[in-house]
Amino acid sequence: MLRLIHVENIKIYAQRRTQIILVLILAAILIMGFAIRSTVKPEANWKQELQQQNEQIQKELNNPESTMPEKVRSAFQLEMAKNQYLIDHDISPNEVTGWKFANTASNLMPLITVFAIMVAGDSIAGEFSSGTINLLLIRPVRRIKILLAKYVSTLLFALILLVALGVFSLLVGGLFFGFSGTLQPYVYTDASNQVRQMPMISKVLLTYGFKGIELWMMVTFSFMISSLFRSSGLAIGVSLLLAVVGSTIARALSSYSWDKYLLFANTDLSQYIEGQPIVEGTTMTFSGIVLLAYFVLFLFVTWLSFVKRDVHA
Amino acid sequence: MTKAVVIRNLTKKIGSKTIVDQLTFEVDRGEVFGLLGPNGAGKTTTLRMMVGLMSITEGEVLIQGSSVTRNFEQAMRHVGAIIENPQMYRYLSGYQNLRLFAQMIPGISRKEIKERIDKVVRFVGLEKRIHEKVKTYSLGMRQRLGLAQALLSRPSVLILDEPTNGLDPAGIHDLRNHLRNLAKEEGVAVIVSSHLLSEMELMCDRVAIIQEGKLVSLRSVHSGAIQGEETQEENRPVTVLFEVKAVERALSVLKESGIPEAVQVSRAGIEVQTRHAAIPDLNARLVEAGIGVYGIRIATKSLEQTFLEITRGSTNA
Repeated sequence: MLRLIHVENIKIYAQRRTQIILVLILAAILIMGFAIRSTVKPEANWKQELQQQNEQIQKELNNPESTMPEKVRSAFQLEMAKNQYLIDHDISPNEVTGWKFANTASNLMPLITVFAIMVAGDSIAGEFSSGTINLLLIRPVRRIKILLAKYVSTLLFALILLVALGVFSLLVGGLFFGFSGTLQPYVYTDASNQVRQMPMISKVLLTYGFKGIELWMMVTFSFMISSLFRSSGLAIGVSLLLAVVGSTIARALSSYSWDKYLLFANTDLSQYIEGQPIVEGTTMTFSGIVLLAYFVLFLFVTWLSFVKRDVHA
Repeated sequence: MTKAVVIRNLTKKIGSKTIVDQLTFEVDRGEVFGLLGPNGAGKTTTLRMMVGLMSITEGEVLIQGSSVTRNFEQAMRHVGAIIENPQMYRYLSGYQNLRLFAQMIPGISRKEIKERIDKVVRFVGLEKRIHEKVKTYSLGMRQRLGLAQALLSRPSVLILDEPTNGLDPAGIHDLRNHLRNLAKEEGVAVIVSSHLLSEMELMCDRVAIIQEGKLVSLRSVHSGAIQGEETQEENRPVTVLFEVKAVERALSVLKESGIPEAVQVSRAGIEVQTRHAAIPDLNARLVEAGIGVYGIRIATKSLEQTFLEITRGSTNA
């Protein structure tokens, strides 16, 4: 089995595409590092600035002629509470550290997702479009083993990208802003609108963990489409489209009762730590079960269409 | 001894369409066996079922006694195959491609992988270019790499789907020699499909002619020509060519002997439909009548003639 995974790994890493991807990720992090360094705000006046911001928000809220919708109003109130918390606890929002940079760099996640989806979508379909599937499936190895090796190597690739993003960004962040800040407080509001804080290292690990789960689902989905339609283009296209507009769709449909069962209402588990869940009343356990159900479904469809179907001329 | 390949009542249905219909034949070790038929006759589908790329609706395929459906891994250990044009990973070198496939042989050691690759590369004569990327290869080189790939597992059954596609005459000649060698020297059972008759005549020991998924004829090939179906030698109907100068007289002599089917086919030749055993007698009559016989020749039907007769016949029927 290890040998089969090794074989699949070679197919991924021997392609020029993969090498370019890794270089692109590094480049994106470096650019982000330069961009953030050039916009770092001075430390001195941050309390005053936050104070001014809060006063402005207060004025807006007190304006009797304001037609501000309730949602925006409460968002402003949260903003104020958070600012006040920062002032009270003497936590500068302008201070950039290596760890904080690593957290910010997780915004490059869509890039990773695109690359991982490309490789996952190509994994099975690529063998069909190049015709190599004929030679692959006549080895004295059952199809289920080949499928498993392909899935594992695809996941491994996604994991490597995720770890690369984390490690590169810690390195770049450390070089640019110093390797400090593991315990720098990260301030956020939870579902009950309480302002809270946690050490930056926890925030970074949580962020990458949750993004990793999201990535896992997207890769599995793309892998399924790859097996189902035997077309790389379709697998990559559909998965990318869903990755981009998925959560928007989930939000748009949030008035329907079945919305909470949609994949994209559940993929981002960080919604249960920070801010409000997309669908009111769902919990992390609920989302976990929904994700698991989708996961099993995806793998079942993948298996069915890879192991049970004829390979035609 | 177990037969290398046993195919029993092999049937493939897709929807209501029957692509392959109750095919039954066996192939021995050391034999080159041809599947011949027009395009769409079901040759490729048959081969695809034999290597597990397509499921079997009915019947079974046994390779060295192991069923392809029930015991896939065991059966496929004995099989090397090229299905369609052998497509390789274009971004890898020929050598890297072979190593990928070799690594999928269960239980093979690193040392063995290297030895086997070196051996098959030498066999197909690709030593010079083996470390170049496959995308730089010509079609002929890719075919040779495909054969190398099929031989990696030291198969006792070699299955080749239209192996001469895209090969130049020299390449076809080489391939033919390779296959004959593998069959005769190493006892490999070779199964090839083709719609090219002349090739099958040169390559195969036996030929199965397939039409509309059915086996219509199973014949052996000797000295480059198809033989009649296995009937008694003396009673075998043959077409005989007599080379005579006095064609008119010869025709009337034969007519008197009760052979009305004699026809003139050339300035100095007549063709007679008769039985094998009757040839000496006919000759004697001609000689007795004072007609000089310059030559007697049995006209062997080429595979092409046979093929056309069989396939046209059943299409018209």
